[in-house]
Amino acid sequence: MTRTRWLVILGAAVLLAIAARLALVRWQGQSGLAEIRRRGTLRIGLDASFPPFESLDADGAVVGLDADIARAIATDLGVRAEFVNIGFDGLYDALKIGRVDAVISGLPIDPLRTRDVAYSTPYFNAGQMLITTRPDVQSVADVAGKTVAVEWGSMAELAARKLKESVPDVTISPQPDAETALNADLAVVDGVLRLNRPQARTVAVLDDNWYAVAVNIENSTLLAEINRTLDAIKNSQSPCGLAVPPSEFSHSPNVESCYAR
Amino acid sequence: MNHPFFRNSIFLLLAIAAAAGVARCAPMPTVPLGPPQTVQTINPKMGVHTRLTDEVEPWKIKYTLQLVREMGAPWVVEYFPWAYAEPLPGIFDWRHSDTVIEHAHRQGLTVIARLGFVPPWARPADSATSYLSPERYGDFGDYVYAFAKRYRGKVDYLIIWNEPNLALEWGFQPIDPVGYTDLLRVAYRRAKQANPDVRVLGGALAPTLAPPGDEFGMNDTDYLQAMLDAGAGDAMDGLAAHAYGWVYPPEDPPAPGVVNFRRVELLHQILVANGYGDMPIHITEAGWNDHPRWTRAVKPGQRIEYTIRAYQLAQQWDWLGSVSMWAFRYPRPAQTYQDYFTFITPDFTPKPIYDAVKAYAHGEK
Repeated sequence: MTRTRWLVILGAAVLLAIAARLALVRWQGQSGLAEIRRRGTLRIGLDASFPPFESLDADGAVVGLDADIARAIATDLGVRAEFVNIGFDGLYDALKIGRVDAVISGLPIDPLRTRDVAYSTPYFNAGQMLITTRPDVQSVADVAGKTVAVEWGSMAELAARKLKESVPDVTISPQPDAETALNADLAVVDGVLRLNRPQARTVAVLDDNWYAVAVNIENSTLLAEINRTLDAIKNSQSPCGLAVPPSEFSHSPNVESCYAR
Repeated sequence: MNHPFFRNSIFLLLAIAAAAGVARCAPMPTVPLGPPQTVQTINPKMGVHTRLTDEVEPWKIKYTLQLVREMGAPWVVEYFPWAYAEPLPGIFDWRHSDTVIEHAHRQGLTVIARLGFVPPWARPADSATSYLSPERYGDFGDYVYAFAKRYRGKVDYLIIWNEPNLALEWGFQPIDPVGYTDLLRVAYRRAKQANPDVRVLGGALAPTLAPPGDEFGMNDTDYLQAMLDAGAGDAMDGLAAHAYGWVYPPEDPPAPGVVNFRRVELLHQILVANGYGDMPIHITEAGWNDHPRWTRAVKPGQRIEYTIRAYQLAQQWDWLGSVSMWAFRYPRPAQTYQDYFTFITPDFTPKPIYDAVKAYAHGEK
C-alpha cells in the first residue's frame, strides 16, 4: 500500500473519531434531559437549612427562593420537582454520581469546578454590599466622613476595610452581631442578610458572590432549559412566587420583599 | 506475565523511568530564604495548621509562613503526604517539602509534620489513600525514616497518621487501635533510627462520640485507652489530638458526652490514669468556624474571642505542648464552610481574626 493511501486512511480514521466524539457529546447532552422526562421528575439537590433560599416548613416541605426556582424549572420541563436534601458539602458529589440532576442551593459559582460542572446564568448576588437609608449617600464617595456599621470579624468588615482604602475618611464601626449592623443607617452586609432590610437602598456592590444552578458538565440540554426558565422568571411581571419580576434577579425590591424574613 | 522475572523487569523499568522523570523535573523556582527570624509572642504555645500541601508557588509558601511568624504563632502543623514524596518505591521527590521546611525553619517556626497518604504502589487499586495493610507498614516506616533523616535539626515533631479513629482515615477498614499501635511502633522505631531526637506523636485523634461498634468512628477516649492497652505508650513521645470547639466557648467543661475544646482534658486524664501523666499532648487541629449558615458555626466576633481565650487556656495547661488552630490559609477558596476556618484569605488579605490574634500575641490586648 502506498504512503498516500495510508495517509488517506489515517485521515479518515481521525475524522471518524472526531465525528463519533461529537455525536457522543451531543447524545450525552440530550440523554440527561430525556431521562428526566422519562422519569417524570427533576431531582434537585439542596441543603434545606438556608432560609430564605431553602428550608423546611412545619410540614416538612422545602420552601424558599431556590425551591420556587426549582419548581418553575420542573414545570417548564413538564415534570415534577423532587427535592433531595443533602449536606452542603455533599452537593457536588451528588451531582457527579448522578444522584441529582441539578443543584439549586444558594450555590456560589466556583470557577475551579467547571471541568465537571456547568453553571446557569447567575441569579442572585450574595456579595458584600454597601446599603443605606440615608438620603445623602448616593455613591461610594458619599460615605466620606460617615460611619459604616459592620458585623465584627465578618467578611463584611473585610469588605469595609477595602472600601476604606478608596475612601480613607470613613469610620468603620464593628458591631457585635449582624442584625445590629444591618439596622444602622449605613452598613456593609452580604446580599443574603440584606434581604432582611428591604427599606434600605443598595449603594454599591463591593464584591460579587453569585449564586447559580449547577448541572453536570455533560448535561448541556438541561442547562439550556434551566437558563430559559431563569430568563423567563427575570422577565416576568408578577410580583412574587414563581414569577418574580426583576430585570436583575437580585437587588430587586420586589424579589427582596418576596423573600425577606 | 506473572512470572517474577517479568514483574521485576517491569518494576525496574518503571523505577528507572520514574527516576529519570524526577531527575529531569525542573527544580521548583526558589525565592530567597531571607535572614533567620524569631517569633515574637507572649504565648509560646500558639500555633496554626497551615495548608501548604497543595500550595505550589514558593513565594506564597514563604509569605504564608512569614505571616504566621508575624502573627506571633511559633508552631505550625503541616501535612507531608507520603505519596507526594515517594511516588515509586525508593524514588523520592523532596522539592516541595524542602521548600516548606526551609522557609518555616528560616522564619523561626517549629514544624510538626503530619505523615500519611499512601502512594498507589503501596495499596490495592481503587483503595483509599488512607488504606495501608500491615504488610506495608515497613514501607511507611521507610518513608518515616527518610523524612526524619532528611529534616533532622529542622523538624523535631512527627505525627504518625491522622485521625485513625475514623474509618475515613483508616482506609475504610474496621477501626483498629491495636493495628494502629502496630503501625505507630514501626514508625517510632524507624524515626528514632534516623533521628534519636525527633519526637513522635501518636494520633491525631478526632473528637467523636461514636457509639461502640459504629462503623464510621470510635470514641476518641475509648480509642486512646485501647492504644495504651496495646502498648502505644512506649511507642510515642506525645499524643496529638484535635480539639474543635463547635458552638461551645473554650471554657465549656469537658464531659464524656460533649465534643468541645476542653475534651482534650479527658485524653490527658486517660494518660495520667495509665501512668503517662508526663506525656505531652499537642493539639494539632482546633478552632471555631464563623460561616453564616453552618450549624456548627459561631458568630465571627465569637470566633475571635473564643480563639484567643483558647490560646490563653492552653497556656495554663502544663501538660500541653502546643495548640494549632485549623487552618491558617487555603490556597484557593473551598467555596464551603471550610473557608470560614481561615485566618487569611487565599489572596493573603488578613481577616479581622488575624489582626486580633496578632494583637493578643504581641500583648496589645
